[in-house]
Amino acid sequence: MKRFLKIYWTFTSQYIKRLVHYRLDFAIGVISFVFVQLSGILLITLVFQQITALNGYTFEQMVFFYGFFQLPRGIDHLITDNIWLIPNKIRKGELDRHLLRPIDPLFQIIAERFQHEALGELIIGGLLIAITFPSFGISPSIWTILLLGVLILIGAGIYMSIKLLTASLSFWTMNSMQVMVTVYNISDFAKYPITIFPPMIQTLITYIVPFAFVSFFPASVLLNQADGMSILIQSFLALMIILSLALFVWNKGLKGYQSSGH
Amino acid sequence: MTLRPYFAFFKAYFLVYLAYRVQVILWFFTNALEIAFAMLLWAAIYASSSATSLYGFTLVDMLLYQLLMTLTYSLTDMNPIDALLDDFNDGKIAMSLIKPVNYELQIFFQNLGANAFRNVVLLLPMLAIIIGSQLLSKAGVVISLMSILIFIVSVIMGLLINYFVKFIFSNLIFYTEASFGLWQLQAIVISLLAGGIVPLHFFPEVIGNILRLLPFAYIQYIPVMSLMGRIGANELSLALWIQLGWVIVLGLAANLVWRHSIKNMKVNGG
Amino acid sequence: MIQVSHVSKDFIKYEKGKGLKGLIQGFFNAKKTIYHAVSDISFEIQKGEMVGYIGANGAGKSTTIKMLTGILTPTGGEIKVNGIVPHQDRKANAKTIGVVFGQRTQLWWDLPLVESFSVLKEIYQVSDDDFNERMAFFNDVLHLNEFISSPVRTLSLGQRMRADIAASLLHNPQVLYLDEPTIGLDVQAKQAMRLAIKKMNETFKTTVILTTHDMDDIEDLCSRIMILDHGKIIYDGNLQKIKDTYGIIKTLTLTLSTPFEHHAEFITSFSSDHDITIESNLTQVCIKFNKHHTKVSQLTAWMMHHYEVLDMSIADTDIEDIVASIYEAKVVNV
Repeated sequence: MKRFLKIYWTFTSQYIKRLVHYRLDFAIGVISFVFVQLSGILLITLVFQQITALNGYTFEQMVFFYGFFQLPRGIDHLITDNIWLIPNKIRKGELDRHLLRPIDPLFQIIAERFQHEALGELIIGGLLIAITFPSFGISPSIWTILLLGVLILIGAGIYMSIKLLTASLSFWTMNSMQVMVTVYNISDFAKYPITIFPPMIQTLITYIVPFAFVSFFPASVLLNQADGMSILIQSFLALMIILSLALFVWNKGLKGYQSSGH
Repeated sequence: MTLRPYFAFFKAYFLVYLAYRVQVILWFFTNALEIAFAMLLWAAIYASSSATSLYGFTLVDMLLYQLLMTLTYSLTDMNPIDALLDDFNDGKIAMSLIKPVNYELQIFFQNLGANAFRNVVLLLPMLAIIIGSQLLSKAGVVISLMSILIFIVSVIMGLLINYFVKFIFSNLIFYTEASFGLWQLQAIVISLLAGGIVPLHFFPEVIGNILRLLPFAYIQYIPVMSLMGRIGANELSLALWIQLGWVIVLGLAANLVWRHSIKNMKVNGG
Repeated sequence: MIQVSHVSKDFIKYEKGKGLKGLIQGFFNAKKTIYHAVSDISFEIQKGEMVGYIGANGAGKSTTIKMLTGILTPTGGEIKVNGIVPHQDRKANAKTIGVVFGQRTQLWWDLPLVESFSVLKEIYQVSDDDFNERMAFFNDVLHLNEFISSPVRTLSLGQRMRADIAASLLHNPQVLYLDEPTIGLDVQAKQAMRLAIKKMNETFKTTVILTTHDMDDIEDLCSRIMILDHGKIIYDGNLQKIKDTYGIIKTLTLTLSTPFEHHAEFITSFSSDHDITIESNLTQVCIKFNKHHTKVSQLTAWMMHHYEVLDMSIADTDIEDIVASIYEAKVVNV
């Protein structure tokens, strides 16, 4: 285990060193993601000039949900962004070099990249939560905060699993990148409270592509709109299901890769 | 100067995309999903509002706006960075400069070929949807030959503006060796300022006026709004002239930037 | 140490139909063709041997190497490397092998070289002492310190290859697989590479399997050579023997100032050499001759007597020709 941490740290520290060197690059990366988030907020702001509540949710609540969503997504983006490169690696036959080393190839792929731009998402998410939360007049207990930390991590795990699952499709088709992007766009629905969307959409992102567990349910817990314990259990279950499915498909694909060769 | 070799590039990239037709069809579904998201969101927003129109747009107007914006986005979508980045990394730019073909035009026609194919896949279904769903009549939009002609002219100019802006930006990225984050930033910024996220007239007046001075509004927003009959006759002719102005200005700027890039490359090695 | 018995590898290729009709047909009834990349090969390699594994492109070399390294599963037969079945215990096998691909680097593009080695140290769990000792060795033979702090993407091909070879040897692997390791390198770099390989082999008894098109690599490093043709091993034995037996055809290429028209006279003049052949295309002439029967000087003298020679070059038998000769010999012998 210590070995894995050491390896991961080498990659990450090198990446950071390089970034500090290219300070402009660092700043631009972070700023660009900040901007992406802000544009979403802009939409909400402009809309709320004309309405007072969206499906029962106030402006502050909408912004809160939006901000909360950035946390698990940001963590996943920060650490496992390299999964996006998997379709390319498979297509170009570049998995070989990972298979020739005595360490899990998936770990190697993930460790190789540290996506600093995701810090923009985390910063904005944090800021938006900090700004809007006080207006709700809720004081969460220590336990709630800890629970939320866990839920956010579970959320990041779910996000990563969905990404891995769609990326693994590239063992069988050349077009998985497109599928990845499509599924990624579905997560847009989870940026806002899912109840504003028709029931069919809600079912889609709760039971089929469980993005709702990434942030809507945890955020609802923080707003005392959902029961913490039951959400914890459900989220954990969702994570287990999607993660095992993703790893299963990944390993199956890897085995096939070894028998058909590239 | 004969344009024949450039049509060859056009055709080549058209065929490349034909080979990847499955990908393009999937891309169509991605677009459909994005539209669906926008529409559902707006439906929820309008449902929560006591008024039937927001900033002068009813829900039907909004839906039509989203569809038309997606359509024009596709019509004007050009991505010179892909070709430039590839060729730059492979050193092909250096090779291309030796050939008796204008590299700038080559890239332009390649992109046009790609653009054309994507539009064949997206355009026809979208037109079918727009016309079939009678959104046009529900929104009270009257289509005449004149309005279609104006739309086409405006879209062509919008495409050129979009291309030049992206082209200039691609060159800047090479200069600063900036990360891909810059490209994404640019995509979002332009999308925002072009009316892709929120119709431009939703912005407060002050900002709206500034936006009217920038070229981005003229890529998609002007063509779409003109087709929807939202621009009065006088304003329309002014808008078209401004579009033309931007085409010329940006075209010259793009050429200047390119020549500077080449010089830079010759000094540093491509 | 390495045991390969009756190993085969088949690839299934699906024929893609042409046009739309073909697309639909392909959906329901795809035509399968089976491509036999490797058919029933067997051999044994002892610890410390340095073996050259050659053949024309597409003969099945890379496929064999991939099976030996565990990243490809054989269709039939058995492979054992140090008692491990590579494709079943990939990670266990990976700890004991080093691989160098001539075309692609195993190192991390953006990391400074020294950091790549740090990571490899952790991956292969090399002790501090061993690490320092070996890095010193590598610097001695391959002069890595000149560019040890540079990111791999800034290295020249020669530097990168030297780095790759060091990286493959860092954990003192029992078997070293080299796939076209000297391709594109200049003479000095090639010699440095070969020296490092030889030293490792001498000191640690590293078994080396080398696939290459460069006969000089083979000559310098290998005593044993295996030749692969269309997925089958057609020769497995001593290098010197092959050269003496088959490497006797040389090729002389000439550029004349006027088209060549003396075929008949040429054949008559050199009739003592049964292996001699001459081909010409206007002013280009290509002569293949048996070096034991004909001297280059004889040929050039004859040519210059009849024509004005603008340019000429001489080449040894290339692998394709040796393989062809061996194949013919096998066919004849059978």
